Amino acid sequence: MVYVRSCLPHRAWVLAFFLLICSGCEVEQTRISAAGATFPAELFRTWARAYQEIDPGMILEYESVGSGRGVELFLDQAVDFAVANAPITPEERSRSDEGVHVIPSAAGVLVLGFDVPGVDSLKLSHEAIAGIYLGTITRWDDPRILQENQGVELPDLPIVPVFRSGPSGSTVAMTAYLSAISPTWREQYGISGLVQWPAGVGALGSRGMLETIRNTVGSIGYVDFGRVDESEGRINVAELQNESGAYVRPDIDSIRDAIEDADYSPTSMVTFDAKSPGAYPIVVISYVLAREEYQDERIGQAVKGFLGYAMTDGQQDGLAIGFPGLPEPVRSQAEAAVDSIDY
Amino acid sequence: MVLRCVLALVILLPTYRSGSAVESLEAMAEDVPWVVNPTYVLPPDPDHPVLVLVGMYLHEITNVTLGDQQFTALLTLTTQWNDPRLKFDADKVGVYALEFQEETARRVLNNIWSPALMVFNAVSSTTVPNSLLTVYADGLVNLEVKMAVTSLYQARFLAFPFDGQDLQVILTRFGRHNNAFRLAPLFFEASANVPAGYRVVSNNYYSEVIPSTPEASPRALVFEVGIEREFTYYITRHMLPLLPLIFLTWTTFWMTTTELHHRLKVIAIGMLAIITLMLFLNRDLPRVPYLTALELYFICVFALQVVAMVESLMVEHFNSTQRQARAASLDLRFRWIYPSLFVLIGGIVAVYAIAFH
Repeated sequence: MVYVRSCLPHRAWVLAFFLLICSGCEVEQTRISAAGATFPAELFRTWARAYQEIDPGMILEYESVGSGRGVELFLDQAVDFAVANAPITPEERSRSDEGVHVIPSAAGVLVLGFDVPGVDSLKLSHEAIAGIYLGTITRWDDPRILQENQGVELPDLPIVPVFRSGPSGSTVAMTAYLSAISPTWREQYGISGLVQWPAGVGALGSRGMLETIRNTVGSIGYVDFGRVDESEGRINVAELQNESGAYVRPDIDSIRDAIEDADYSPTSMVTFDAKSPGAYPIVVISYVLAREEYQDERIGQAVKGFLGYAMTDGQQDGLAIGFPGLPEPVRSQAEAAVDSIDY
Repeated sequence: MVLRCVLALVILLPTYRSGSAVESLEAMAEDVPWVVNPTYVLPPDPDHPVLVLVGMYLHEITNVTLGDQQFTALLTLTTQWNDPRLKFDADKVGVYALEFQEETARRVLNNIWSPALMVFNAVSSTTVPNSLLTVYADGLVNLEVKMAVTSLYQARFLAFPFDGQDLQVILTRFGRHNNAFRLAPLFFEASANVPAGYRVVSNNYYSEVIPSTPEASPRALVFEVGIEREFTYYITRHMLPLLPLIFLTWTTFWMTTTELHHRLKVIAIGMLAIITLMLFLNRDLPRVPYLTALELYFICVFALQVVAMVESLMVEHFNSTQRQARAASLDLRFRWIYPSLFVLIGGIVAVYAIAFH
């Protein structure tokens, strides 16, 4: 009998062969689709990149089409979850057969960016902001603006208000703020995602708002705080009066105070009720609309995993782009809501 | 006859109505008069240039050629501008935006003002039938056009095959009213789909002053994608095949010192093979007036063959002048000098490639 002695144990060869085969294997991919608000789009993309390091097979495709369009796509079963900056109506909720979880996922602030030559700091009172968007204050050297900005040389230049074209959650937040500070605005226009603005020019999406403000002399418009530091230079942002009457500059501290005080109930439309004297006044809350039960187990698992990350470790990812993370009680409730997603 | 009429209607009606998201154009005329009787071909405000925001989504780079320095890209160009004359009452019309596609979009665009843009460095371009024109109730216009563009790029081959290239799509205003609007970038997104043998490493957009022509204005928007060559192909197909030749020449230093003709035969085979490989490589590269890193490698390896040939001739000379010990000593030294020189060549090529990458 011939005995052949291998230089390696038999099992090692099997293992090496198996590893060789598996090194060429690709990870199975699960694509989940989402659509909605442009306001938190960058945050969701940041979460997706971070979560891919935990689950390389998950790919998130997020379309920034605006809150209204995102909700439509979700209710038409065209996307797996939606993101909206405004609560959905009971009628919209009833259109979903599988039930809808409305989960607060992130909170940020809207700032008023402006481009006025020679001016890099500006205080705008309630009267000034309302007058600008109502079209009753049309020039930058108007006395109602000058009185709060002593020592600032404001030019004799037309004001160009910039607003969002098409339905937008950011417009809901801005009109909620305008309704809170101006009875005239509340009576004539109210709170809405789609407004026939009395003055100004339209822009599409958060990016369009930013570039229109940056490239239009005399402009002023509402953009999310995380975008003001983007490439090609910052834009200037105005200090706004909060509910206590103090002028507040948007920074991480004033944003944190605002987020702590905000109302996160899915039926709330009010964004101007911050109690802290140092709180920035215009808060935008982004809600995720997810199904209570997903028919496709793979998709349901992926959505639950991704949102679970977003509500836990992911809450720290948004600090650099203007999303400091939800207050702990809200975050816990959101995490519990994600845990209850079924498939 | 009746059948022919019905057939004509079936053929013509979809073409006539194609792309309208709402009703027919005539039905819209009452609420949106400019749709059917648009007379706004002149710029909205001749005294103040209209701001036109331009965004680009680069779907795919389908081809990158070396010789004629061209690339072909499939992209969607988005342009946005405001035209107050196109405002309409959303409550009355029932929608907040009017959408026009393909043929209908073309008809509307023929009768309203739109910014005339050209791809400054294009060799040719084709508009794929996927255009979408949206006019919002506040007068904002958004035009998305999908196109395939073949453009020139400024190639830098000094570090070839370890090189990277910047592929640019340069947009500028042109036409009679090119001062009626100004361009600003909106966004630039590029997918990672490039031809095999390349990978995308960066994307960027900026404004730049370019040499102007009577048709094009000097201020242009540049959308740039940085790609790097996957050099593994050239290492395995062009550089590594020289190793057996190097090894073969190296063996000549072990041959007896009197076998000059055998030595020279081996070295000459190596030299001819190097020349053949180099000619084969140069078929694909453009006729540039400088040395690429790959050509430098070939030339240095060729020079190494010449050194081996000179060494063989010196050995023969020492033998013929009765200095066999010296001949043997020279062979002994070159058994380690020769591979050391080859390693040095590798270092020189690496430094050259890094310096010009």
